[in-house]
Amino acid sequence: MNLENHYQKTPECLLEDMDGETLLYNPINATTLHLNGPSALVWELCNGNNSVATMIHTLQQAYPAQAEQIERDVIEVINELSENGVIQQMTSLQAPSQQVGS
Amino acid sequence: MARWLIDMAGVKITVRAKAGPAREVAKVALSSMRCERTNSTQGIELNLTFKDNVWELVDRSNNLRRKLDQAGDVIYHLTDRIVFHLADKAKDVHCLHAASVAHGANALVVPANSGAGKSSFTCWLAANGFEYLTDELILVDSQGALEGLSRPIQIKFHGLEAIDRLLVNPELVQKGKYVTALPVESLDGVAASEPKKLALFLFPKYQKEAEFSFEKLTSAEAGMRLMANHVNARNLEGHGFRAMMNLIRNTPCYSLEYGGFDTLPSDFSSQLEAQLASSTLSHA
Repeated sequence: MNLENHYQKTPECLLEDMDGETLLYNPINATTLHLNGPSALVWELCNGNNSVATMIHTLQQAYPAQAEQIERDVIEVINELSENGVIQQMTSLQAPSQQVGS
Repeated sequence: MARWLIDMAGVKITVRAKAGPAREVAKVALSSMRCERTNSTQGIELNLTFKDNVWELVDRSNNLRRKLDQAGDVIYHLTDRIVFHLADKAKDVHCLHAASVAHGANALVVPANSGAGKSSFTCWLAANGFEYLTDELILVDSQGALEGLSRPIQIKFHGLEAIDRLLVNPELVQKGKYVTALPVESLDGVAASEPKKLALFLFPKYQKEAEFSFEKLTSAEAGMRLMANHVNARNLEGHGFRAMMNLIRNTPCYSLEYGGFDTLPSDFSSQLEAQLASSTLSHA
């Protein structure tokens, strides 16, 4: 995975807080995901402004004891969210870092 | 010629059968279903005839034609077309792939994919005094009012041995090559005559030699499982997701794992009745 990639949430997705746990439904492919702690954090960071590297850095600063594990976890979660269509990789024209100087 | 009109959730389906074996098997298929005799076809027509010892089922709306020589298979395919059209066209209610039974006004809903033991477990519930609503499809609104498509309970070949000892009136059973159809009366059970209120979700898993387990599910776990059995989501605003999650939040949800009826506790049906009753109190 290219750590400079940016991701944004698929706008059609619906989110529900179920007694403190998060369920995410994608009406495009009728899949439901249960977002546990790490995946809920990554989902929140997929706002189009953060590259994958930024997400990893942000979470490593918040949880320094698990720094090594965090990179693997973030990549795994990004892959899972992307495979289920709930986030989309932004094109070079959309991503903020690519827009600078354009 | 006889015609029956099924009018559920704004979907009209007419079953048309010629006098003789076609009409007789249609009567068995529809005996517990909410339908009425009619003189003319309305909506989708399913046409059943019998000639040279073979039934022919025609669904022109889908260009489908089946020739069948066993009554159980005719009942399966006829009711399967009704399930298909309801799930395909219903827009005002949520259609769930689920069995359901009731005790008093309160319904126990058992959502599950094919192969989870849903129909066999429904037989056990019906034989233990619960009113039968459906073994395949419920229609539920966002307030939890529900009705089931009350077809004969349909058991595939590998499940027959398990339900054999539950049969009280085996002469009512309609055998087929693929499916055996059990009118609820064959289990000495009764079909519900009016809509019920959702009171309990139970997600079953039959696994040979599994030990009995009956555990409360979190709302998130139950929500995941329920959406996997929502069959007309595409017809509904927001795919019915928020409405289903609201039902889950307001309804107790359990998982059941069992390895056969012998592994169920002797007082399990009483436990379920008590759960349904207490659910009513918590809703009040």
